[in-house]
Amino acid sequence: MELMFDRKKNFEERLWFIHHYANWVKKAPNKVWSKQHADFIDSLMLNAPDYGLSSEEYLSIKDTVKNIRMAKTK
Amino acid sequence: MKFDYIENKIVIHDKVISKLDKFVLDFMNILSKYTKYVIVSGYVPIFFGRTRGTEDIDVIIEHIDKNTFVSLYDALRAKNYYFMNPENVNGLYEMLEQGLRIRAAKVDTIIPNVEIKFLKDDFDSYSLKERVEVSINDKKSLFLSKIELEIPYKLYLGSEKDIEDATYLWDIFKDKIDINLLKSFMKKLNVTGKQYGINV
Repeated sequence: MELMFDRKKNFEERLWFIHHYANWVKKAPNKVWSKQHADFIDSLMLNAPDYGLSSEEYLSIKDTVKNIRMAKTK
Repeated sequence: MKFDYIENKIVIHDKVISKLDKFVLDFMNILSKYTKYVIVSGYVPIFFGRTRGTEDIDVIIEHIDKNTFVSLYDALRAKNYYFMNPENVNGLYEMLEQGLRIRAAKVDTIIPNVEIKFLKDDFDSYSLKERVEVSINDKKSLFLSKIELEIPYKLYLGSEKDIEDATYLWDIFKDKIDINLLKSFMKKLNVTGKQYGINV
């Protein structure tokens, strides 16, 4: 089965959301947007201790990603 | 979001500090005792509310001599940080001298981590020289990269994540930044942002 995924449209929708969200952040009091933001970031941090890779494996992956990125920007 | 951005200082009040902010503040509090630093790239938009995770905090530091680095290393170790690279303190310093990056994290963790490098080009020098002091709730400070450089640099990097970061920073800061300075960096890096709504 062929997977149907419109990457361009998906990116455009994410950009739309960023504009929409930024407009809300600009209008919201600091206590309000930053509380919601901190809750979101903290929820991501909850999983950090369970990261499944060793530091060696992690550094190896980061090196690979960096090399790919450098090749793309050249 | 209410904040003041005057020259190289941002003052923000009533910001609820996330666990990531706390990690960064704690680490930079130690680092700042040994060298001048500036935080660049992904953490900058995240600090100002962008909703995405990050594994690492990218930091550029001024060149320090080996003795100072050893003192920094010892201070970090004393506060329960470790360097993820397998090298010893001498090897870590050599890596920095060679223009490579080293990573530190809290003991027994991988994420989040701080990626450190010595400044090595004109953009790094500018970032460090013109770093922006962010005063948080009148209690703590961090030094972040100037937004006028951060937006073009993110566009230059060019991944979808980077473009989203640039777009978010533009939306938040467009009324407060030096547009001519932004334009000059966009020209130097040969990037445009109109297609993403960055209309300069």
